[in-house]
Amino acid sequence: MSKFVDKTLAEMVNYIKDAVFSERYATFEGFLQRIDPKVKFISFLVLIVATIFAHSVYIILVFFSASLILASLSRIPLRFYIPRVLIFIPLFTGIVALPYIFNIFQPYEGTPLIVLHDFQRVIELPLLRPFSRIEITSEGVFWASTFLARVTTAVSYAILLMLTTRWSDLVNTLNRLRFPKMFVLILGMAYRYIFLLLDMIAKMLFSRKSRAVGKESSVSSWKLNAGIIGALFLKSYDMSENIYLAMLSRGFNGDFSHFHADPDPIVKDYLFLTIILVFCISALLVEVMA
Amino acid sequence: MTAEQPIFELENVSYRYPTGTEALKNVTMEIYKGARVAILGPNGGGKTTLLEILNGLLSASHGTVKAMGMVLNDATINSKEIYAFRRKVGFVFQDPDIELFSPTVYEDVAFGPLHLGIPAEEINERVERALNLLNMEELKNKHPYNLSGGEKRRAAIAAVLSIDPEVLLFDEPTADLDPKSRAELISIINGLNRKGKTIITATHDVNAIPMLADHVYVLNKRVIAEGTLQKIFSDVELLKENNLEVPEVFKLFEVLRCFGYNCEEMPLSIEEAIEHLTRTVETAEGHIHLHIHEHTHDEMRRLKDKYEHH
Repeated sequence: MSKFVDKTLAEMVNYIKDAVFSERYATFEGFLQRIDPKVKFISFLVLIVATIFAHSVYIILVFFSASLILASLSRIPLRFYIPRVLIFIPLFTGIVALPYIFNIFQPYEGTPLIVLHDFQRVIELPLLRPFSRIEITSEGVFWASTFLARVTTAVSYAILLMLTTRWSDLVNTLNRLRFPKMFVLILGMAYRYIFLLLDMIAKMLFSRKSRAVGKESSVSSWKLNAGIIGALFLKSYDMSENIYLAMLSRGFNGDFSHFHADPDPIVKDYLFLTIILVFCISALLVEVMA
Repeated sequence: MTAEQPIFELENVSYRYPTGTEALKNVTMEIYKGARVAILGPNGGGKTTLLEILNGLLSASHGTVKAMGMVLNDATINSKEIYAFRRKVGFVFQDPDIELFSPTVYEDVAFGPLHLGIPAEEINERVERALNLLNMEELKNKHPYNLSGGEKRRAAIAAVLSIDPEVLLFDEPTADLDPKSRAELISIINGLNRKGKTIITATHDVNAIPMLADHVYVLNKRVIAEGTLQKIFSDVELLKENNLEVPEVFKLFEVLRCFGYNCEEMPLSIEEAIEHLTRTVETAEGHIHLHIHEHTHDEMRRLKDKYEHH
């Protein structure tokens, strides 16, 4: 058990450092990396909104394929990209969507696909429609899979944006698009300090390991982990106070300004946005007409 | 270099943390324009608190603090006037990870000028100048996390220099640096002093003090002693009582003295040692005469006892 906790924590630390926050791919010379971050942000917003509006699984698949093509044009290895898209978030979405494949959770009577149990009488439960059988309906399966596909595709775009854009550019984009200043400041600082705190956790885990002799019981291991979390909290609290002083010392007065020398978008950026718009509109039109 | 009016004037300054712990007690000091001043003290001696008071981040619990023609108290450090003050006094924190809070080095260096109301067109120029001075241009788009310890320290200094303050406060600037970065940093600080900036360094690195300061305050909650380097370092007992000691070069020359080397004024740094030895060789017809006499061993024993921390 304690080994499991140890391993999980260490792996989580490494995963977040490597995958979520690494700027490895953002500095590559790829297609999306060359697009102006502001234009890219808006384009991806358009793509995500269009995906959410799409109802047909085929159209959603077209959108998903587009994200794969964009990823490979941006030199992101698909064996790195696809697992990140498919594993984490769709897993949770799947758990959320799962009940809806059963007739008892559906608002209308559906076409039964598989009958799981027949009670031979009508059962009435609070909040649910009266039912006599538990079955998986084809409407339910269709609805859940569309929902899952839509979420997966939207997430694939969000991940692609994160992978191909440097965090500082993303923060700057939010600032340029007039997101609330405090929000921009907090996002920038969260990114700045998450590395440091992750490092601290990793070091504390190491130092514990270097002093651990013999086998630990799972209870004592949990206690020690709680201690690490506590120490981290105190340390980060202390740090936040000092960072605030450092900000005050350089003129911070509660009103944050952001300074980031970045070039304005050029023709190729607008061309990219136009292509994305045309793509989304035509995909949705095809769906409406079909 | 020194003008008549001190730019910092502290009179009986005390500071008590909200927890009740006393950090400073009756501190009185005067610092003049263009000076290089060291605040030497042990861990927990109140050095950082003193710098925070000098920067107008904390206000003294008792006593008066006059700085750059302004009285720093609870009211003034929370007023708008403090921004004009902060353009004149820059503070380089001990931990560069505290100082560098932006997503890139460039944004960090721009933070000060941007928030102190410097015109937008001038900001870029100031940032470039500060980065250039500290040899940081190539690293300007890097995330501070990816810098080495020495680079972080330089970036932190650039972040303060972009404000172009008249006074620079350094908190333990040489801590955790490798010898090369340490030497570079010391030369950067001295370069700034030659340009007319007042340098106030809080440190317990006694070997760095001869290279960083001309005047020393020994601080252990109170001002224990004050004066020139020679005066401070000649009182070994006092330093020892406060968990401090003298520079290694100073110790070496005390050893030489046991072997009959004649010196009145002890060299404190390598430069001074070279100068001293050269002078001695020149006056003694090209020789330095060392010998073991009847008291050498006793003197050496006494010397060892003197420097032992118990």
